[in-house]
Amino acid sequence: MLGVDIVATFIVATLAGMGIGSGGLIVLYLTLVRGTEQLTAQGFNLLFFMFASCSSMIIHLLRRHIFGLAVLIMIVAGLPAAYLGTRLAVLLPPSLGRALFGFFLIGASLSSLLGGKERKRRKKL
Amino acid sequence: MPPSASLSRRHALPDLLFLITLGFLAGFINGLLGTGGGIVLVLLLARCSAKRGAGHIRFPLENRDVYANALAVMLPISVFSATQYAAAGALDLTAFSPFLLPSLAGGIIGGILLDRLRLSRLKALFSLLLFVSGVLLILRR
Repeated sequence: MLGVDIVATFIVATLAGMGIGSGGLIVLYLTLVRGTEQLTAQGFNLLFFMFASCSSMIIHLLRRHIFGLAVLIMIVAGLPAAYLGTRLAVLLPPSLGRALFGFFLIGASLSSLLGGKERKRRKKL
Repeated sequence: MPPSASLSRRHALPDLLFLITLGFLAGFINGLLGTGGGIVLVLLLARCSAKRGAGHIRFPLENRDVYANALAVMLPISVFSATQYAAAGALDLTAFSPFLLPSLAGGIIGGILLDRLRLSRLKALFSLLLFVSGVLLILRR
């Protein structure tokens, strides 16, 4: 089972490095396949994301246009919000955390799918 | 004064508020769900970069640059969130240790592949997978 876990982590880390998305899949794999508790799976995902994005960030810094000031402003605004979010996550019952996560995934996937169609429509115009 | 400079000054405050709101939203979701902040950033930054024709462009980012900027924001926020999860006892470093190398290697390969693959179909498949998984999570008791 450890081998399957490692291969799954590698594939999802590759997706994370491409920016397609990642955390959702790791949390899903842990909660739905391995039966891990929601909060523990979320903590595991944070560790996973830190290492996967840290390594791909080196490539992106060399090849991409990073808006330094904009990124810095968003980080400064995001840190206290992350603190509030984490406090709330600890207080929530696991089933509610799981349901919130499920609704978030549905919203994000619909937005991504419909947003892609809208961009194609605008290109045709 | 060049037109671009006057435009950026005129939009400085709305842009600042927009960035603060975006950062706050991404940080909160990432803290609450342990993931998702990057998705929010990518979706909103991509929209703000896409409206070239309408003159509403805030950040002239290509799609692939949007991902890189979102990662740059989410990396320090995730490190901070992880410290908070650790303080709450929800972070198991020993259990994670076998996954350290695959995470690092996958991240590097993903960063390289970003330039070489057509991502639209893969992204649509990924979105569908997330949708089905979200329904499963809600239905599961």
